[in-house]
Amino acid sequence: MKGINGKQWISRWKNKWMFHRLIQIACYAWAAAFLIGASMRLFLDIGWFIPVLLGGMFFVGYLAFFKRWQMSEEKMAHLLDANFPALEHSASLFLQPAENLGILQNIQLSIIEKRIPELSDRDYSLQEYLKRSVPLLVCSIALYVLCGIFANVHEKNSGNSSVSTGSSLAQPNPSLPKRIAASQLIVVPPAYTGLPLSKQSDLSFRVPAGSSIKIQLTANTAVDTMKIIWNGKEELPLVSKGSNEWEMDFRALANGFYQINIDGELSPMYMMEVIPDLPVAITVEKPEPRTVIDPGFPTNVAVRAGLSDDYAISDVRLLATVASGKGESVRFQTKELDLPSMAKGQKTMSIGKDIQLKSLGMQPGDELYFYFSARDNAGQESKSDVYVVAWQDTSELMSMSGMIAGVDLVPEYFRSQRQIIIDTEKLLADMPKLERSEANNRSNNLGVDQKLLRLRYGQFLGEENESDIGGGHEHHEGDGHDHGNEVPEDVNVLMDQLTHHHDNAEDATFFTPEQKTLLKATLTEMWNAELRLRTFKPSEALPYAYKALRLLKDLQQSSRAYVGKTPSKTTPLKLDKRLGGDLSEITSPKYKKEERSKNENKEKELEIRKTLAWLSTLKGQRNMQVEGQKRWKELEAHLLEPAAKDPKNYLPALQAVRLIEEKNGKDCLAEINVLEKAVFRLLPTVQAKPVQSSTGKTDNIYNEYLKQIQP
Amino acid sequence: MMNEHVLPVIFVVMVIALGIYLFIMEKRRSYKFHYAVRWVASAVALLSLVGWLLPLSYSSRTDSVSNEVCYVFTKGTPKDTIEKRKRGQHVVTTDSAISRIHRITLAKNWSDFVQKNSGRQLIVYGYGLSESSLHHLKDKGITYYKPATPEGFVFAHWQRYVGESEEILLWLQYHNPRSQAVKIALKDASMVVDSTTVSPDTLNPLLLRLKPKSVGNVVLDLIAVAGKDTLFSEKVPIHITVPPSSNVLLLSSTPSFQHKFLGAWFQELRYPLASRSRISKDKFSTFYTSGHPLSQLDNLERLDFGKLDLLVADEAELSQLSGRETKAIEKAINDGLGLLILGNSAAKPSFFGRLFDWKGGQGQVNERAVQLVTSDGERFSPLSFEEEITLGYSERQRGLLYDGNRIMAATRPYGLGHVTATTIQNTHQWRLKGDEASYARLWSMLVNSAMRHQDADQATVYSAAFPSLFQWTHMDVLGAPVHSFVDYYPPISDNWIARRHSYAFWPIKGGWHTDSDLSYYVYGNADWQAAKDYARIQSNQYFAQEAASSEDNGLSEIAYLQVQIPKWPFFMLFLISVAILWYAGRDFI
Repeated sequence: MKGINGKQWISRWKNKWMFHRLIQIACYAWAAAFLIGASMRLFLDIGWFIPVLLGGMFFVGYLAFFKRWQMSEEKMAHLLDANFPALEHSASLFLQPAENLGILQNIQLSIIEKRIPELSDRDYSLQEYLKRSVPLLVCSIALYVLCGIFANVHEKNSGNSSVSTGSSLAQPNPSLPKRIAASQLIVVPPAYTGLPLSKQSDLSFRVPAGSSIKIQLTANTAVDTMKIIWNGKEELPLVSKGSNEWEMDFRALANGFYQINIDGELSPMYMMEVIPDLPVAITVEKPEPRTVIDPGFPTNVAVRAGLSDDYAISDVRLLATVASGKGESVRFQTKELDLPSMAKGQKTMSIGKDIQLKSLGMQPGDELYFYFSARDNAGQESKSDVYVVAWQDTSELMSMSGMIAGVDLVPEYFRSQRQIIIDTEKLLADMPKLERSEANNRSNNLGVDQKLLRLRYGQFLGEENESDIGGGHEHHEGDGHDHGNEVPEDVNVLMDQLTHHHDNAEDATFFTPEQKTLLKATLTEMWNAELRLRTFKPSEALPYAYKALRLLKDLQQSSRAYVGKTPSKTTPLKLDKRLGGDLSEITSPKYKKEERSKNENKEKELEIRKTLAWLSTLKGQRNMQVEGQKRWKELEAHLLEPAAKDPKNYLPALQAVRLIEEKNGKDCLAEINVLEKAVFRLLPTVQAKPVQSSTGKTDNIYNEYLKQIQP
Repeated sequence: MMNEHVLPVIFVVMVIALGIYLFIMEKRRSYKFHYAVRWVASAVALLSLVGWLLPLSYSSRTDSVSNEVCYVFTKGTPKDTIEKRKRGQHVVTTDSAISRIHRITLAKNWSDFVQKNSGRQLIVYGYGLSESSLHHLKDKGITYYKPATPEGFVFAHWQRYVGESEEILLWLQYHNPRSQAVKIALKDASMVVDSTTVSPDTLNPLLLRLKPKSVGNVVLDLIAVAGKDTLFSEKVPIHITVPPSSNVLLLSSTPSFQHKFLGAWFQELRYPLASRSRISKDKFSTFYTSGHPLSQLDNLERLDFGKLDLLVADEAELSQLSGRETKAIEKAINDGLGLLILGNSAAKPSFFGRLFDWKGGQGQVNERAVQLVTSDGERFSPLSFEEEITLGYSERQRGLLYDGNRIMAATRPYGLGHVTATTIQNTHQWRLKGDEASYARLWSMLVNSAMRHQDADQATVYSAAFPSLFQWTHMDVLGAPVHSFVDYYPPISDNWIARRHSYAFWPIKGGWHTDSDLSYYVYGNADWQAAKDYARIQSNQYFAQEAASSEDNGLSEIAYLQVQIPKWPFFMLFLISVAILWYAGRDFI
């Protein structure tokens, strides 16, 4: 019975041992997983669950394939014997059945059983198994975390931003010249831009125009002279600040590129790109460029404009000029119109104002010219286009000026429209005195007159009967003539209807397409006037009648062209010699033009074309040969100016030239492609030229045959 | 031929002499090992030496008619066909890859193979045999089974030699057996200048165009792309020359904008220009640039028109020329001078004007807009004309420009030269609008149609479309023999055409080659492979069709074959006899 206690004791130790062993294995498995994860974390962005998962796989795999973590009771007994001398190597007796034990074994069993409670766990500490594994796991987890931190920091600092914060000793820049350990550019944009100061280590930069730039370079060896070469031409020295520190200040005003000359050694080329400050962009949404206010219509004009700038708009003005009077007594008056107050310094703004023409002192017949002027905070001023508002004068409309002289195709029609207006105004004046039925009758009669007039004009557009209203469509056979007052909105459709088509009777008119358009618009206004007259609203009809008259006057004057008068003096004719037929004093002049000196630009262009062809063959040759040596110098010279003006597109090509030269044309297909594209863009499109076709020499057999067969 | 027969004779004589010497020496030997054995061994050794060193063969007669076939697998033979046929009795291949992979005998010496198999019918699979191989079979014929059309550019043609600003037309045929469309792009300086798309599963003709910006020896890239994969990339070499300037003479009856702008355009092209405008009766205003060979323009009869390349004159001026002047110009045009007539209202048509049928010109009409179109369908920007003059149709002329159905410009040959007439007016409007391209295009076309043809110094013609590296290449050159070539490849002059020489050689270096004025391009072996294969298929098809139509297929011939005696028996005999002689010389006895 007491053996059972011993057996339990052994079993307990066995479980304990296995537990510790499992923990040890688990620690090793996850330690290995986290070590692998740490190395992966440096290059890949992996989550923490990857090492955890990996560790689990290692753990399960070990348990499945290796049995060393299992312990039998016999082995445990041996282990206990080894670690507890008090057991006198008899622990295995606990595991044997009691009936199999002899007297001595039983005695021994009873002896050691009594000693079991006295045995201390400290004599056999299973913690030994964890002494290495747990710290290893902790270290690997710590390493994984550190690698993660390092990777994050490295990612943040690897971006190529032109504005970045950094210490004066920036991280190593791969494009730095060999003898430069560190570089820093301090960019101070102009104050008006409101942009903050920025620092960067990259020597290529893109900054607002006018920015002040300080270049600070730290050499890793002693340097005698350090210069900057601008656009391959101008050299400026850097100033030494001692202990291998060099610096220079300059302002970025134009695009270009530069190199650093360190004791004769040239660095790679660095791009200098300047963001220009554009003036304020003004977009006038309302009104139209030319607005005509006809009599009877409201005399106010709604003005809406949108403004935008790169940095800030400092001032906006609306300038207006009123022109009044006619002929030589035209008077101009310029004013600045008040605008609603708005916050200054905005990048975009929207302005609106309703201009009351009467408030400007305008009268019918006057014209208003206005435009917007805006200034940005750089002091650049921009102006919009000039917009015109013309307030029509009824007296001008009703006058015969400009209508008697010139082509007078159908003058009686113009007088009729004017007569209708006169009659309508008279009706309006008499209306308070007339009875309603009589006023309506007169209004209706005027409407009939307007209709007749409209129909007469409509004949010019091919309208055949009364039901055609306003025109704007063609007659087709079988057409039910059920058309509304439709004016095609599509210009092409309208033009198609109005332009000349061969054998189309409708187009056999004297009017040009523009005149036909005006005529159609006139008919539309006539119809509007007629409608209102026939519905007994003569006051509403009057503006439309005036508009129709204005359009008719425009139509009448549309074919006129106005030419400035130039004074010229002619030699007075000698009447005695005139028509005499004496040619003796007339000489035959001869002009000789000396051949111009070689057109350098044309010669240069031809050389570039030849170089482009040679580049295409270089891709296959992979060897520059002698011809290439000469070409590189020429190509470099050709690319300097474009690279200075547009470094973004041409500086890579200039760099490619130097690289190909260094490699002697070998294994630089990518550089050749870059160079080819740049040179291709440089060349203008070739205009067509005559090309002499070739045949054999004149003394060949073909020519002999031809000579023989000719009569 | 002398060496072929003399050396073996000398050798045999020497062997006989040696044989006599050995016979005598054997007789004189003191030891008595079987004398006969020794002498026979010596004789055998000498005879076997002769048989070993000299080529000995005998004639063997073959059977007359044979029903046997011999399968010839060339490159491009489908694998299943090879698997199916290779177990046949007579199977051979001309492709080393097929020989290696499928372990089929390689026909290294084709003429020998043809001789040995003269009684068998040859059935050819794959892309077919080369021209030289087919030449050996011209009396025999083949049965040819063509494979699937190879994928890629199966045909290509373009002008190899063009002048600057000429448009290059690239005629292609692409076979796309895939289920996705393939994009074809032509690149100049790594920039795509023209492209098109080939539908899936089609064999389509294509046309690509470009106006290159380069001058000299250019290599363009032609690629076929499916999705993101570049399927094929081929080289398109073109030699672009700068055309030389030409001497031009302008004659006008009145100073006009047309002449003024035309003269300015010629000067921009840096052509030596002389211009004469009639200001009164027999009074002219003359202008000429310093490089022009003609300066005295009052009397055209005395001018040396041989120095002139183009004469531009309006019809009114030509009608006012004297008879002698007209005769001088006519002679010059017969000798190659070009004449460009600017048609306008003339009371009496000139001698040259009567070559064309002028219509209209009765007076001013309303200005009208004219849309010019070339015979190829290319359009120009609209122009406004004031005079309504057109040309009538004639069989002897070729129309150049049309306005609807009306001919506005036409050209016709006259002797060695060309006369072009045009009724186009107011082209200076284009220049005033800034449309330089239309102006240049129109006048270049008209000038090209009339200009004197230049003498060709070098013109090359290839027998093969793609002369390749280490491939036998024929090249015909029109002009003086190329000196550097002459040292290496002696030219063969043509029997009938002077100044035409043929060269045949193996190019050993790829790319452009320039020698004097001659430029030619050598392709790599893998370049335009699909086109080469397709051309071979077609030539084999044609050859097989021609042979099938012929009655005598050569199978009924009786042939005698030369069979060479193998060397190894002679070698063995020589060794044995020498061994016997050695044993005999050991003096055991």
